[in-house]
Amino acid sequence: MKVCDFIIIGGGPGGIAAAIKAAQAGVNVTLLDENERLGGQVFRQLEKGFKVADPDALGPDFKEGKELLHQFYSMQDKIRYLNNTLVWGISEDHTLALARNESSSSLGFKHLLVATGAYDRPVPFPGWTLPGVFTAGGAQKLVKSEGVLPGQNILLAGTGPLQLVLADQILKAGGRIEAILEAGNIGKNWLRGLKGIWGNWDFLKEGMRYLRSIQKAGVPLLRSHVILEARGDGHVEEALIAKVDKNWRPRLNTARSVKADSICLGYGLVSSTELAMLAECEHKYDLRQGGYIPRRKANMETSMPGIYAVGDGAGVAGRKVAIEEGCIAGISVASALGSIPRANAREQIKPCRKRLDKINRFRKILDDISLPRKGLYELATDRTVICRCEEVTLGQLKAALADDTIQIKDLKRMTRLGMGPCEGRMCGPFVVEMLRHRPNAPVEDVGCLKPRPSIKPVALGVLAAEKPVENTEA
Amino acid sequence: MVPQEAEVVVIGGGVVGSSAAYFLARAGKNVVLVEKGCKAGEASAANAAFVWSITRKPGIDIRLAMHSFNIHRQLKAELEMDFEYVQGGGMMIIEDETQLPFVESYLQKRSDDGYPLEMIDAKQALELEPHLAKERVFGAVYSPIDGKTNPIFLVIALNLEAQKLGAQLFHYTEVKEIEVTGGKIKGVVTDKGTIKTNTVVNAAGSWASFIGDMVGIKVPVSPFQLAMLVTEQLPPTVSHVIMGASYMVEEDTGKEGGLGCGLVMSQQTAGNLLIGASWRKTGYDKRTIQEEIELMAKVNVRAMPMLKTVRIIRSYANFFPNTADDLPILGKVEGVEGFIMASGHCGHGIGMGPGSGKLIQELICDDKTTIPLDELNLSRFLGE
Repeated sequence: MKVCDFIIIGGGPGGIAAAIKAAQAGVNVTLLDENERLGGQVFRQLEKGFKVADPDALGPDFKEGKELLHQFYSMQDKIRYLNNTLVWGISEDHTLALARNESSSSLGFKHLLVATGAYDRPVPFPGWTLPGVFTAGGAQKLVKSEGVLPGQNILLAGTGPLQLVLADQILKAGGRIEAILEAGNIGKNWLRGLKGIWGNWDFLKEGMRYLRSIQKAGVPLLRSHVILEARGDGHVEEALIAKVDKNWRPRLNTARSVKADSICLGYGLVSSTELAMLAECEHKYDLRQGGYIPRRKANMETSMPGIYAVGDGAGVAGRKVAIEEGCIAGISVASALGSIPRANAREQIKPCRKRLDKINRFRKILDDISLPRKGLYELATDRTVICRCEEVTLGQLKAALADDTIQIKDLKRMTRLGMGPCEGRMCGPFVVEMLRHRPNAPVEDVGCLKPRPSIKPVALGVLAAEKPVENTEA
Repeated sequence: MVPQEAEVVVIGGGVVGSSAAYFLARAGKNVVLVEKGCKAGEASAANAAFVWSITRKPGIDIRLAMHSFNIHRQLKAELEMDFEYVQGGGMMIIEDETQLPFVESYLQKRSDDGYPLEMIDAKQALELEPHLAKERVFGAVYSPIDGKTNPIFLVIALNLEAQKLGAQLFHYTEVKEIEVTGGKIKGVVTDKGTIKTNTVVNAAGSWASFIGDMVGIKVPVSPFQLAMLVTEQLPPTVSHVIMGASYMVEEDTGKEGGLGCGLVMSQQTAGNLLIGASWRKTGYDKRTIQEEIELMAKVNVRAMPMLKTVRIIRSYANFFPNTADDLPILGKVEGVEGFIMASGHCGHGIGMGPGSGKLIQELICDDKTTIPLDELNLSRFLGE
């Protein structure tokens, strides 16, 4: 089996930045990405065959991404890049199981960077499984890579700046937005954050630009509002919305109906940690940063020697943080491999760390506003489906939890929660919060649905296929 | 905290312990079950889901299996929660001609013992399971009474019913010590308190030897990993429980430290196929490895080519409590009054567990059992 010096999983901003830094230092880098095209969710490129007249329409992140991608492509002779490659397993002897080109193979590594990103936090409420309800990420994918709008009258509900980014993209693509519901109370927290904003002019500028574009289009931005219910006959036709208190509990006397044929939900992101968990990296729970995330040292290394994690997959913090963390990881690996002297690495890391600290100050304010409050987890009724794969309702979970010794592993066995193809990605984050809010719950660690290989569905034919002749090129 | 006393303490919340606790509670015993992990946490949750007789050998093995069939049917009628038990028939596929002599001699022995099995030809086998690859079916051994269950639901159904009958179940509760005075069981010390009792049932499965150590008894049960794959949900595709004859013919692969693999298939009520299986010695390591996942995929795709496009959603593995003669250890233990063994089902726990649990209840309540347990006593390993 081939053993690579440095494998990066995930071709988003963090993975790309790490690849560039390590390759610049002379490391043989292998970058694996599940998608057809590089860029991850934030720098998602248009599908082949799609063209936009005005690249500005796709936002500054697209332009910034283009620069990063350009840099990456200019170093392509130094980076081995494999697209359409799913990493479906990892073993303790530093071997990855890959599914690629209709067959399964193994690839060894000395150092590994997990940069697997995040996905939209699933928030169950009555009607959330109706056709026409999208995740913000899913809607963004439609708009960005296929130029398709999620609907004619779109309602955005959620929290945080990513909603504004999506709104801007929908408007630029010619879509009509009924309203944007922001669960947080932006106004109140704004002042408190001034200290963090100081110096982060880029963010401020970007944020203001989005707000202006939304204002110009006359889209109402409703602060302290959530969606209570999606209604419709076989498809979304209207949404019930209401104002919320500081715990995001709806004030029912403010509830009203809004016509919409599609709803995009953007209640923040949850880290994709399946691989880091399968690699047995230690995790900690931090709702603010996306749930269970790997513990890391300052050089981005996890508790497992030689395995690093950066970007949203290691704590949701956005593309700028991912890039700086990716740079730090790339340089650290180069140093660990002896490609650059330690002192040199330290010097290179310093400015990254400085920028990271500055961004993190700003992040903290946004995180404070967007941190999901208790009320968000109380929208589902007993009939609401929580586990979509196995159609397990909240009522079933509550019945099982009547016995207060029941833990998440028991719930899974009693109700089939998380036993479907998504392996608990959709229901897990909600159920963990539900368990954490139980009286006498062990707040530190209620456990989670543990991933097992294959971490994503793989066809038996792929696993059974003859292995490709080993690729001996570097 | 656990109660201060109980008539019987069952150690182990798998299918064997849960069956014993249920039947004891039904017989009016004050029973407490302690389990170090979650509900249906170990081998009882991760297996092939077979309730099966075809490979059960002549003698006590097939008698215990047949007895357990009755108990499964009884439970289906008695327990409130549906655990998806279906007697849809079982097939052991003869994969090539070389397996034939072995299979024929096995069938002869079963017939001599009074438990004959039916042999069907390739055409009949393919009529029963049309997706099987023609070239991989030479014939099959068929049993109409064999079938499948949802092993997790079976354990949970037993637990819920036992609780209704007054049994007290303590999961996430670990046994630390067993008090023995004058050769008699006096109590069980757990991390949640001490229970005074005169009777302990060791249904700890692959962990049974640790419980044995606590009373100074060597229990020759060791863990043996069996791994399987779960596919996405499919419409009805496989109606029988299926095993390849290589299991019997090449019985010892894997036990010597290598990786063994043979055909196993069943379809759960929810639609997922459970397919496998591979086995190897791993100590108490539950992780599945790439090599075995790929091997299981190969074996199953070769047996049923339509599986090529079917996706797996995960793999799982667990430890079967293994004994040297492939039979469980059931019954009293000489030298420790009140200590009762109920472990070592060697991968047949789902099929044989409910029957074993019932026998243990009979032993405790009546001091006699429907099936004599002499041949299954721990004493058969003495002097080894």
